[in-house]
Amino acid sequence: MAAFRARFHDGVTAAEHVVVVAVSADGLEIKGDGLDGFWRLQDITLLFTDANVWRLANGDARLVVDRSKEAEAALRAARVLDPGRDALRAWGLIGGLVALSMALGLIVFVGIPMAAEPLARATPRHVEQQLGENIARQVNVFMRPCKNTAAADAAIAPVVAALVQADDPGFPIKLRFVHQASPNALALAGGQVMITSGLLTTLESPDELAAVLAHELGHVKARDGMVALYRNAGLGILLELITGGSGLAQQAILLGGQVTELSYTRRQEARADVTAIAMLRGAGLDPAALARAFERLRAFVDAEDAEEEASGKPSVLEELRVPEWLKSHPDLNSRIARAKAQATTATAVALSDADWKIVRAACANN
Amino acid sequence: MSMSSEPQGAVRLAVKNDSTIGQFLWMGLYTGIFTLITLTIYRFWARTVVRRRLWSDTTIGDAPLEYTGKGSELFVGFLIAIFTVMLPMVGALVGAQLLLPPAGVLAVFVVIYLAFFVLIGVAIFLARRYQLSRTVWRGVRFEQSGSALGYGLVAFGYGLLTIITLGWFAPAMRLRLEKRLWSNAYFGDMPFTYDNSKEGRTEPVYKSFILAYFGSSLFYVLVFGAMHALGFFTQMNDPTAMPDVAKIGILYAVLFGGVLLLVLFVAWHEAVMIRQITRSISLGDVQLSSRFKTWDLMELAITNTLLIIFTLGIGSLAAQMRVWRRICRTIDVDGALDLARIHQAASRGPRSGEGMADAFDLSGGV
Repeated sequence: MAAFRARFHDGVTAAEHVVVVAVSADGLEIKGDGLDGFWRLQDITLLFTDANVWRLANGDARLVVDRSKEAEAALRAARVLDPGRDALRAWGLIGGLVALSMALGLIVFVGIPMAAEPLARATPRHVEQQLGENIARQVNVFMRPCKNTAAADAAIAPVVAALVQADDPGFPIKLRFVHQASPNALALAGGQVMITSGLLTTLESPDELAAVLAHELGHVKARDGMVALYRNAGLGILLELITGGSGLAQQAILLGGQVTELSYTRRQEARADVTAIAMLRGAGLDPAALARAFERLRAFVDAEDAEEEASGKPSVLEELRVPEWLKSHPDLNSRIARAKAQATTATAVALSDADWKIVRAACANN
Repeated sequence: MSMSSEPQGAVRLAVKNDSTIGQFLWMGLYTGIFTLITLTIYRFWARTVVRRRLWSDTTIGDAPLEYTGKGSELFVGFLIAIFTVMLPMVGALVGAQLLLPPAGVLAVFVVIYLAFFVLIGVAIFLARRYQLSRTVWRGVRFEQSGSALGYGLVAFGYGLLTIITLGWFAPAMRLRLEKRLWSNAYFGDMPFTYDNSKEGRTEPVYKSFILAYFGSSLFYVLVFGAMHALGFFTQMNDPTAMPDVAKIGILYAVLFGGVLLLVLFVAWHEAVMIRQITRSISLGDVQLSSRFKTWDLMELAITNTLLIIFTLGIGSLAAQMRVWRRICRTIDVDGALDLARIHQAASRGPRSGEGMADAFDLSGGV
């Protein structure tokens, strides 16, 4: 039976005892300095290995064994020391955590986007409406609503009414004109729709405006604002969960999230286009107006890009100014083609010339 | 490694640390890689690995400290904090924004932000309680007793006082909070005492604080003055103006000189603070004191910055280790302890650790 000297702390007091340890098949016999104890192998954990010592624990008690050939051979034979087992545990931990992070990634990129739509559909409509009102209030901090729009509101109301009658989006529509130079329209949760001052000056006919409106009503009907809310909330919570709100991995996840976000937006845009085409037909308007509106917006974006390139300014910040619904640039051609394919002769007029003038000047009175 | 330290009776204790930079650079590298490939989930185990090394490199009277914490405990603590504190708070904030009228949102915001600042103190206290309970020397645990909520509330009150006094309460706040922690700390069943009744308790601290306070004010005056003199503020209104390379060079020179000056002032105060806190701590007949000098901090600040820059951040663990090593090497221990009369701590400490500190992102580094 191999034996060696060691230092012993009994875990009861802070005193140190010099002892002799004898290794047997089922444990360590610890004797000396008035002590006579036995540690069963299954109770022993190797705490730490450093240059000079092995530190063994059994509950609160500690055994500090100075490194020596004899001690190492004995402890290895008893499997108290087992570098292979320790390495396996360490790599097992890393492997397990990598697997866990991959599972979480799957939830972020697949699970949450998939769950967002059923969740949105299950949300009571009055809750979504209240949400929409609160979100609109916050959006309006950054996108200031145009003032004195009573005349423009009255002029555009029949267009909204005609579209709603053609295909009810399921929420009362609250339409606001807001100050923003870039042409854009957005549909928030619960029927809140905003049209920017830039859009009013970029579009050149009232049926183009009606087409853009119909597209936004398509989003309202599909409850896309609510879907986005669930998706982003889920993503945010998981990010917090995984990273604790810091670190490189968070950046990676955000980037990846952007990609899935885009692909889902594409599908939602296509669906909103289909709804818009049906609405326009139902209201007796020509769906090809949607194609014309897209072309004007594309011309605006291209002109801006060209200007950027000419002035040599970095475009990182500029990208933010591209309208949300035009981000899927490569898809735009097929969207234009789809709307054009549905061209019919209009049986109604979206707005009279006089009303179109009033609407176009909606943001002129501040 | 002496085998013959007195097993019974009073023992004289010297604090040493023999950590090496190479070891911590290597740890910084591999824990960094593991943290990255596990989407940061490995960070709990990384911190545990580093602490085990740092603790075991630190010896008191020839016996090393032992860190018995586990990565899984930190991970579980983090999850608990996320689900019981962080998510409810974020949920209340988001829910209020979406569903309540503006006055209600404001009320919820105020309540949650106040609670958050109290919880920061609670989190610091809980992290400390966990760390002490997982620190063992000669088989006996350290312990932090006292109320976490009490600490959080007091720290919050002191924080308010510091704001009201434009920062002048800050040194007193720090000393009082240290006292609150140390006078409730134990090694086994022996309490630490924190004596802040010594003569000159606040005087030396405030003398150096005056310089640090006006020194930092001077720094801002200097930098903003230089920016103003160089015309940076007038240029801001003119986005087309190209920045002048020479001017930027001058500004950086001013910044560099200012930072050196700032580090000098702050380092002096910080060194005084460290000495003051250390010499207030005693355990039984053992009295601590510190020889930590202004130059120690200056030198560490400069060399650590270089270390981190030239290792592309991997050296930040080594940098933290170097501060701890210097603190250990400048500690003097006067008096002796009868270790056989110190018994095991009554409590095993919390079952999981540091959750809130992690959820709030307070536990930066080791």
